[in-house]
Amino acid sequence: MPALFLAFMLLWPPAGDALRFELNFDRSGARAGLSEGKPEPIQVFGTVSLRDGLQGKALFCGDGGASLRFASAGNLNFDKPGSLSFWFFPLDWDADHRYRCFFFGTESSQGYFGIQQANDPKDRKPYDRDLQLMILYSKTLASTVVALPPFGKNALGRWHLIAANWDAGSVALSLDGQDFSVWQLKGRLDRTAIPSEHFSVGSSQHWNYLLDEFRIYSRKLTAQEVQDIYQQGLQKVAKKGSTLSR
Amino acid sequence: MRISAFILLLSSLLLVASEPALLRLPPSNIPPRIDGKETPGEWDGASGSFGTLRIGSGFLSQRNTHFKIAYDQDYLYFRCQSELPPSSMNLVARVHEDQGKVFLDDAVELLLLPPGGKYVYQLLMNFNARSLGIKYPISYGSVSHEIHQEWQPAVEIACGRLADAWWLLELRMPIKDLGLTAVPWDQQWGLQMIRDWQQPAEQSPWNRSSMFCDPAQMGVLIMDQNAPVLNFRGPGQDYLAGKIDLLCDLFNPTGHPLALKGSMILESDAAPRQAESEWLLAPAGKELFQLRFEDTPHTSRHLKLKIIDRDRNITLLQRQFSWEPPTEAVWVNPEQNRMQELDFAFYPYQKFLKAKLQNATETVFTLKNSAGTPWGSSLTSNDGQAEWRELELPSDTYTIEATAEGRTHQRQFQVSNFPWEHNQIGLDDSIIPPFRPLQLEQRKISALLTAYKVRNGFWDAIDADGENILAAPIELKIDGNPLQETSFAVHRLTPHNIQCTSVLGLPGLEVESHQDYDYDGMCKVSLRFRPKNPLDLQKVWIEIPLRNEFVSLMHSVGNVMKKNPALVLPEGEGLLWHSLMASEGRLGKINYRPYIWLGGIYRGLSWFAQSDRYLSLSAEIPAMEIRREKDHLILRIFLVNIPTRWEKPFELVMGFQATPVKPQPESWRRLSARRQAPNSIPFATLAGPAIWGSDFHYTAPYPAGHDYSMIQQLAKDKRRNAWQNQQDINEFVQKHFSGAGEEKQNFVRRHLERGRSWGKFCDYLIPYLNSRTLHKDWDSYPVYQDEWWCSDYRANSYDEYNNTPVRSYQDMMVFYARQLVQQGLDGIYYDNVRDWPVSDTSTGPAWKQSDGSIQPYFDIFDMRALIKRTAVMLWQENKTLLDGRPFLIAHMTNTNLVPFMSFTSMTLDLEAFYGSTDFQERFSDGWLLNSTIGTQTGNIPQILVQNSGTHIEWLTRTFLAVTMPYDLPVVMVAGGITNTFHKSWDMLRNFGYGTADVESFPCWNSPPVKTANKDVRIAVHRHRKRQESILCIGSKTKTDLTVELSLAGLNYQTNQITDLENGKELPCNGTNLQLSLPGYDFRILLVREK
Repeated sequence: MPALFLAFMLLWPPAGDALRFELNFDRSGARAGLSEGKPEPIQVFGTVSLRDGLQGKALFCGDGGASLRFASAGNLNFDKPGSLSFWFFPLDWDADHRYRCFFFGTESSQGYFGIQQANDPKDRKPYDRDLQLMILYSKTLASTVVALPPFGKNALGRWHLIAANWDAGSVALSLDGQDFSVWQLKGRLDRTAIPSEHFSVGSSQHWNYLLDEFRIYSRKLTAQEVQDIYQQGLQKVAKKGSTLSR
Repeated sequence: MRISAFILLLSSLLLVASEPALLRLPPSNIPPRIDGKETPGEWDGASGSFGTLRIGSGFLSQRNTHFKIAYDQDYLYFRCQSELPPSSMNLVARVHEDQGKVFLDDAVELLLLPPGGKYVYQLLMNFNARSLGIKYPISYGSVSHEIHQEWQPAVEIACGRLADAWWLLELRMPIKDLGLTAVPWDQQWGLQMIRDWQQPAEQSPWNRSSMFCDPAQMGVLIMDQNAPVLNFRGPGQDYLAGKIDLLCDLFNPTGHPLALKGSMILESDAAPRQAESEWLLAPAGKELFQLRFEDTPHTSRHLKLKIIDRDRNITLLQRQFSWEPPTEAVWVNPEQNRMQELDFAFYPYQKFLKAKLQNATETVFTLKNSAGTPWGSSLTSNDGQAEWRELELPSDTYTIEATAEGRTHQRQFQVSNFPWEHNQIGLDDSIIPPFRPLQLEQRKISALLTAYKVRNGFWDAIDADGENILAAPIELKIDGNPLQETSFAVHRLTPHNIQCTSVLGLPGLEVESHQDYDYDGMCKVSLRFRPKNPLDLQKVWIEIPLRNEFVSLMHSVGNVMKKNPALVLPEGEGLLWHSLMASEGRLGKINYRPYIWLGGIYRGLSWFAQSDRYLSLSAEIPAMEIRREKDHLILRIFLVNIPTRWEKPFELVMGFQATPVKPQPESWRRLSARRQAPNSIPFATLAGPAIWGSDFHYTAPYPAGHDYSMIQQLAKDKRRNAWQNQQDINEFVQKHFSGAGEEKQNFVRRHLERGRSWGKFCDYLIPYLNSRTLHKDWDSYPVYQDEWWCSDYRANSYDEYNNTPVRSYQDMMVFYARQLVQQGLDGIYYDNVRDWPVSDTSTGPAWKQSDGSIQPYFDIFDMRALIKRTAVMLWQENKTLLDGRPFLIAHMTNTNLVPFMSFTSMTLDLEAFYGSTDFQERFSDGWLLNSTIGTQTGNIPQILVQNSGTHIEWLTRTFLAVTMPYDLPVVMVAGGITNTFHKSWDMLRNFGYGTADVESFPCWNSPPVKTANKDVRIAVHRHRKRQESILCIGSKTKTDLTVELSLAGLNYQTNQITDLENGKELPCNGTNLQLSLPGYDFRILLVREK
């Protein structure tokens, strides 16, 4: 094993070779510590507030929190297969209704690709609503909403991992290290379908949560890599003494 | 555990042989501007050195780098110029924050060990001028790479592109950030400069090294006010084309003349080239030292460059490296590697092929031969998946086509045949020594040292070396209710195998317990559950109550080798341990564990199961727990611990094996690893496998070109004299490694010579094999890679760990193992004998969970089969130890699985925590007692050790302070052991240790010499024929001790005590001896009756 790898074995992220964008909030605040494109957010909505995260710091999101918008160029490319992953920790999801819970998206009326807790049913808390990946408003790709079932109230008080894969013909979602659920698209997913030149991470409104270790990859993650990311997170949580889903 | 131990050993030996790179440089009056740009003259005050090497090698990397260093009173300046990739590619530079993951990018590293420093400082930098700083504390002159801290010096870094061909990095670092208050004149620094390449990944250091932070592998830097500025530019930009232009600039910045001498020697198969010059360099004078010529580029070349100060007779610059004609592409564009959308896997032994088109629905699959002829009918699938069974394919290249949505995807695979396929080696009914035929008496099945009395599908008594270790019957409990037997029958009774079946019942449930006993006492239990109606359950478990007096230890595995629990169980009642009490490891929170053993020094019981399929377990509730309730030590293995419903029949397969499995061989203490010691039986493990002619890099179980001529020279009738004529070694190397480059050829030659040198005196030569290895260059790889690699579909991967010994792999490995011993070697060594998760649903009970993910299985029964077959084969080929048992070594650091080690005769442990810490701090008593001493499985314990740093003698003493009381004489030294080790054990051997004349009592076996001090371990070796004993005493604490020993147990009338290290007599008050024992040290004393 190379000497360098030995020294950094515990730090080495799964699929590190394909990592193209990483926002971990530890040293650089709202700035990406690793990126192939521009690392600084091009726009900040709300107030950036950092709290103790899965590892180091996390971004406080929702009411009173922040959403960060980054340039897609170099960082996110729907012309090629890719992945993203991030951790979130629900905060106060038993509170009164606050409408939406938005995690990630390319907010554009010409083509939207986003991940959120479902907006409905409104009489249910977000932990009892589906986790959705939505493709909307594209001129070349049919609107699609795919979903994983709610993770339920038992999974409150814990960090959760969301991972999403895409290629030209499909999208996939994974929650908490489970294997991807895959859906085929009607049409082709590429930059023509989603031409937005930016993407947003976090939210400055609605349901609160912490966001940490947001990553974009230049290829699709394998099931094993998602497991490894999840297990790495388990180790960090175990060290901190808090609990995790599953 | 791996051959990395041997890489480390060989690297350290080779590093000693070459001289380190050295730079002695004057202070600079010209501080360079740190701007990432080339300004003429700004680095003229810096000394420079060309080239980085392949890691662990003396050969240049194919990608070029040049370094410069300068300093003044306050700062250190550093410059690195390294080549850029082709214009179609970019440097990998993703990290934008300091202390971020710079190691993922193209990076430059600078490591410094200041004179007398407490740390090795390491700084990694990328093209974004971001850095990651780390420091390693020095202990006994060395470091452990696992122990380090953040370091954030106030550096200034700038990067730029030079002529669009080079990455230029410039750095300025305050000297005070290296722990210095002033320039340390004329003192030696450790210096290492590295270029970490990407595309492809390659680490290349300036000074030859395999561990960059190891001070012993660093080059040398000396700050010298009277040195010239020397800049070795390298062999010229076209050196690989044979146009060699070695250039070194010399400049005198001092105020007085400098008398210098330079020597460049370039050796190769062609005529040697040489340049020598002397200069009297005036103040501000410049010279050029050059060796220039053109030659054909086909050969390797070896450069030694040295410049000395003639007046002071000191070396100013030293550089040594080799290069050879390029062998592979320099830069690789990763965009060319794309994931396939059509997955498939082919299993030749199962005659089974499966394919899956990702994201597809309706798909037509067709299999075609190389002529394009379809094989059978096309298969239409609605979910993008297809399977072919009972395929009888002749040798050919086949294409799988998958057509969906108008697009056709193709993959190809090969079918070939091999001579080892479907053999029966080691599969007959032989009962190998020391085992004996199984015996059945009513319901009691007896093996050599263990016996099982069947009741209720399990046992109500398990005898281990004459004692029933059960406090109560083992029972399967369904919501607290034990199952009762309704029938029992024996239906197979042979000397090597007994099988019986019990039927158990509860209202609504029938369970059939089928027991299959092997002659080593392993019992495979298949539980077949048949619910008559849907059954709602809360908890189902197997209750294993052991007698507390026999259980003090536990060991369990879960794919975290070196961090597996191997514990001395705590005192007291209640919950002692559960399966969520995981140590840190790659899997984080481990719950289901495939193996657990409980017991004492000898007696105990293991349980194991390959898969958790059909179990209903919560991730938050322990799947196993150990409780003590008065005199019962209870192991509970849960099959259900969350509300579940059983509706359909299912089967669980598990194994049980009691210990001790077999006695250790009587003469085991006489074995001596790779050394001719007094009264010993010397043996040598031929590792790495190049020693017996295997191509080291692909660890095939056969020699290069299937040429056994080197092995034949190591046969018993030739080995004593084979070292005298080694011309055949050169012929073998030329024949099989002519295209491999000179470095590789030298490597193989050295290894073959080493084997011959061991042959001079060793009675046993045991070849290294790896039980889990695979390489793309094996002839069987194209055909068998899916069946052997641990993934569910073709991965096009290979390595030394992630392969499973299914039946075909066993056939292959045992076939070639037999060839090795038939050609003259004396046993087999297997590396990587450990638990391993296999994520292939087609080779074992891995299973798809409801969410689609694959839960792997642990290949316990396949690994056991490989070991057993090898043991039977060795016995049949008469490759045995003195007592007739086969000589089979298992390398198993911290994974002491009884069903594996049952058939081995030697285990190798402790390949961990190499470095410069005291040995007492490396391994716990729990580890040593559970995993190392070999008593439970009847193995000879062999251990690995490696020390580094400046206190090798001391570390050797701490090693002896642990291993002598533990009675561990068989040691494979991976470096850093002094002659004190050999002298100490030779004293024992000369005394008669290991023979029938001496009775040995390790510290864990109630030695007759006692002390009340729990920080002291004692082994006693008592001579049977005269009133003499040797005591080996070791300290467990850093504190100096005064130890009171009671010698009454020796029953000598009067005692004369001699310290065998220094010959001094120690005063003894009757049977009480007071002894001073320095912290972590050892003593070896002779006690005689006067």
